[in-house]
Amino acid sequence: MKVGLVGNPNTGKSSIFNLLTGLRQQVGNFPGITVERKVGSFSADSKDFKLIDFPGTYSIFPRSKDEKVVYDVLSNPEHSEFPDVCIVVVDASNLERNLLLFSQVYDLQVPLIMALNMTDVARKNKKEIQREALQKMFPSAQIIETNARAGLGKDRLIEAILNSKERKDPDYFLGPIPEEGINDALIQEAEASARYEKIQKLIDKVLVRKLESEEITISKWDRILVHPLWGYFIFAAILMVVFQFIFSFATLPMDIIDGAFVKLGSWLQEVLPTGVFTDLLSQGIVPGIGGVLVFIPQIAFLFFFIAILEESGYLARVVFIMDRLMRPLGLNGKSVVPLLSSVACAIPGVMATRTISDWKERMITILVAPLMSCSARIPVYTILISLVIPDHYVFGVLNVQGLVLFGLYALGLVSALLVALILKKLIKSKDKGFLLMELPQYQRPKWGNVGLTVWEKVRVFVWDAGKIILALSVILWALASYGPGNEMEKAVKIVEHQFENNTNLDQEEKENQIASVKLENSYMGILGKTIEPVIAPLGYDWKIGISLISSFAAREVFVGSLATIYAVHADDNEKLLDRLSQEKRSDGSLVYNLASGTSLMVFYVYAMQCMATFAIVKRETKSWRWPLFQMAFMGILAYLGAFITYQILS
Amino acid sequence: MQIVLVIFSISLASIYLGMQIYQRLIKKDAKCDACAMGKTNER
Amino acid sequence: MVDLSMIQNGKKVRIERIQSSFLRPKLMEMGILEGDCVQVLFKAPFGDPIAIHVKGYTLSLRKDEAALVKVFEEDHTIGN
Repeated sequence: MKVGLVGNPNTGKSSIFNLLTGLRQQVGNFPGITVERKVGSFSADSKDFKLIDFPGTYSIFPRSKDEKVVYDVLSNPEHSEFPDVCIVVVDASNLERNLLLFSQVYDLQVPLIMALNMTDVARKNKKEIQREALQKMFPSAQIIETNARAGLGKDRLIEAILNSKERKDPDYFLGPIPEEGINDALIQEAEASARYEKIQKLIDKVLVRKLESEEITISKWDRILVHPLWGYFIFAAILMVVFQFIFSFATLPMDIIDGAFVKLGSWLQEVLPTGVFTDLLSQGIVPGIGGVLVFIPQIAFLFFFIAILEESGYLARVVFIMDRLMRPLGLNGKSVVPLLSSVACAIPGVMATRTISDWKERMITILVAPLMSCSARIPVYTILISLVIPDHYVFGVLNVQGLVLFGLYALGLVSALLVALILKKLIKSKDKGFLLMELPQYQRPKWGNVGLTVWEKVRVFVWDAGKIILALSVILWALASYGPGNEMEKAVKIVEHQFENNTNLDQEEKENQIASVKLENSYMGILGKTIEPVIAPLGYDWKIGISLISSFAAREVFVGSLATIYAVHADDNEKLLDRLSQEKRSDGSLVYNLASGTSLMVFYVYAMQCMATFAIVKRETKSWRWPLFQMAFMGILAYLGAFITYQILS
Repeated sequence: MQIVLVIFSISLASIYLGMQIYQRLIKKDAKCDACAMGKTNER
Repeated sequence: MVDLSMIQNGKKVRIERIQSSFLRPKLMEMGILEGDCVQVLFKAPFGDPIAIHVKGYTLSLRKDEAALVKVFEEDHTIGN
């Protein structure tokens, strides 16, 4: 039996969903369209139920692709997703506006259960609801009280679901929903005002206001949190705390995951019989899985905080105070949190754009988010800065290396905003952006909901993006391990030969050398050499070329590939720096000088060297066009930026 | 024996990616063409 | 003619008319109806967007969205 779940945003709809289904949730699409559908299951009375969560909407007449699903399914009993009974969640503290949608769904003749939620908030606001009067308004609906945040009402809901019957005789609150109204703004306006008029007439019998006067007071929180000065100050302070937490607490589990997979890889290499498949497992698949899982701490931490801010009602205030600042850039207040999250990692940033209802604004936010310098760029920046930027002080206090690092972050931010501005002009959209957003009442966050949000985001990343990341890792491994003809074997033989004649060199040195020539003669190495003429104007040689290609796996791989090519042990940063600083071109000049090093840093500011971001953009936009477009324009920016930098500095 | 498994894995990865790209690039995104707001906008 | 974007914080106003626009049905669905009373609660820095009290909840809207809503001023204010 199918049960639909419909309601306004901010009514506790997701709390009810979580209350009924717990962890038995699945995320997929509505059939035939790219609108996300959450389905949960539960059983009662030895029957199995499927709970379908519909996108939150204020009216049955859609304003977006997501909202349109609600009308399309509920108005068509033949639709495969048409529910046998529909729960409409109604916020009791905000009854009038919630009854608009409820009465519309009622008039579609769908068997209905009204879940009168948040009655505790209503009581706090001194509003009492007369259930009998409400029942008279909607005789064919079952009306039950729930308080999903406190975990109350599950039994009543299930009982109502079991009791639900098909509605035989048409029975209207106002009248049938005009089918042609979906395309006609005038009909919608007439509908809305006629409904509200009727609701208004009946509401006094239903709603008993115990407030002595009609005075409306502003919450004491809002006096501070949206204050012209304190509002920004507090937001900045909260951000600082969040980032402190992420950087100090996410690094530990990330290092553990990283270390565990490195160990697992070498352990497999030892215990399994030698062979190419063992290599694939230990060097391609295991690090690939590790490369997916290593993002979990950051995603989990960020969404932990985002969920708390959202549940408490504060996130809507952030949107409120930031909207004006973001608008000239083609963004909206809702883009702020995704963009700032991207400073830690673009993946949760892209995932956090879900809340942006306007398609164009959401796309722009997704496209520019990876330009914000994420934490994976830090190892690349660090090694390049210590290589080419002198450790000097200007004005006695400012460290030049620190200034350059700051400059790279600023470059990313400014570029993200400028690109947003350009995309605003380029991307065509019929829909005009608007804000019109409810500022929900402040509430204590519910930990169960926070936990489920974190769980869902992690699961979506690991499962949906993980498959693509894994497939790409296998292909990258193949490119790095195989070469045309027997060039690789020949090169390895030469190295082995050298070592046979010279017994002073140790075994490890030999292995490093072999790894180096193998990579040089692999497809990846050939690719690196092929692109050398293309990247030469940026100041790079083929060795950097190989590292650029291989770091599509993840930016920090850049350092590891350089280590392999220069035959240095992967963990030995000192030695790598030493090797790099001595590396010379055929004309005797240094490969890593100020010009090429800075050009490389600029390249990393812009280039989308991250298959995980690529995969999650594909997942979130449900299309390959956007991630491919993103990779292309970021690649062009990277090339041009690096080119200009190199030409100016050299 | 191992080489067979490797070839199998690499083809699986390539086919998976190829199929995904094919599906997503060919399929067109459904726009909200029935929304009255877009229509009023055009008037 | 006065519109909602010009109203000071705390002032209560009666809605006279909503200008025809693609947002008009959306505004009405959100509870902004001709003849009803709304109250301006507070404004974001730079005076945009604004937050109003309507139908028992708080709604935020941009200044240019509020400008679509023509209003009569009434003389109720909250102690602020």
